[in-house]
Amino acid sequence: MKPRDPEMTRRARDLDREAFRALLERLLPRVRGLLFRLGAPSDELDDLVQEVFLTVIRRLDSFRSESSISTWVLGIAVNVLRTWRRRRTEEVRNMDERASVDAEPPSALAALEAGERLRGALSRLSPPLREAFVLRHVEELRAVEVASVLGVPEGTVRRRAHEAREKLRGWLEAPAERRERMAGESS
Amino acid sequence: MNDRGRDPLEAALKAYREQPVPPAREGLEDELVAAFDRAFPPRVALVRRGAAVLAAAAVVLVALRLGVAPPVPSPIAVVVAQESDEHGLLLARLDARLDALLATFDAGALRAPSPRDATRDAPRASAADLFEARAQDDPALYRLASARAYEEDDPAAAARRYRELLALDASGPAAEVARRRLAVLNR
Repeated sequence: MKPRDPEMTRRARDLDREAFRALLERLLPRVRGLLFRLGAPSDELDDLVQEVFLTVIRRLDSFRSESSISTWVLGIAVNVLRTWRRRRTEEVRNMDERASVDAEPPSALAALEAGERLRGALSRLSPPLREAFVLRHVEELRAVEVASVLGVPEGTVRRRAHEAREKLRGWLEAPAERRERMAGESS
Repeated sequence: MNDRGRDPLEAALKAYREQPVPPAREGLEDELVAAFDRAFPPRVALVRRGAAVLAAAAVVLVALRLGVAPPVPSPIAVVVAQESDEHGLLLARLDARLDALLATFDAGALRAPSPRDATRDAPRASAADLFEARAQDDPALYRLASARAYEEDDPAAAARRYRELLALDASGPAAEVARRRLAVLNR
């Protein structure tokens, strides 16, 4: 049998570590993005990301491949953020107050760039609607994957995402456009 | 959607997805890899090396039964290389174990006896003992090693072993490898 390259042998033995690093490269930016879009403040983002991946490390051996590893990690991220919210109610309230400045009335939203307007509008959604919307329409996961991440039935995901869309659309529409649309619907 | 055919939500979503997430703290990824190293210290590597020696015995046993040199399960590495998403981490971990197994074998840590040595008192008995002991600890991995060893010379026997593995555990990473190998054998 052909002898193996000793370097390759060493690499094979280090593969767990490298696989974890590969996992980080692939999912760390995604987890950061998800937490940020779910309303985690910038100055807490790294600590929350760290908590997510420390949880991943602790639970790695219990992972079963019924779901994809990315779905599993995103589910941990959502739970870490929920736990953080419960622990830091006061800070979250302050954060929402800051965000609500952006989310203020539609006339104020209309003056903002489209992405900023949506960011402001998202902060007005309840956490369950926001989670469903962000995972489904920003992260672009399939409904079944969102259900797995959130631990709710697929129908609940669809309903929440739909409700979130309707609310956001209403908030984002410029008042003049809304009047035109309502006039068109009534005629 | 408004009367001009442009959905304000879709336009905002597109812009929102493109908004940058605040940059990560420098060194965060290294901190997490260090945490991984602390969670899986060198002791694990030693256990794994010991397991590799035992696993080599399993391959030898299979080879003795076939009277051929055990083949290298390189297609498993190929599967891992192709795997870029869902089960990548776990497949990589499994592959590392199999790779270590074969590296130990290649390095001569456990010399493969010729079929002529396979008498009642020769290493075959101890290899069988080791195999049994190890198989009880991780049956999926060893069924995988066994099945792979049969692939070149007796594809039907290999396929039967992969199916047995799937019957035992249809959801683990070993099952994922088994399914892929079965698909290759059935081509």
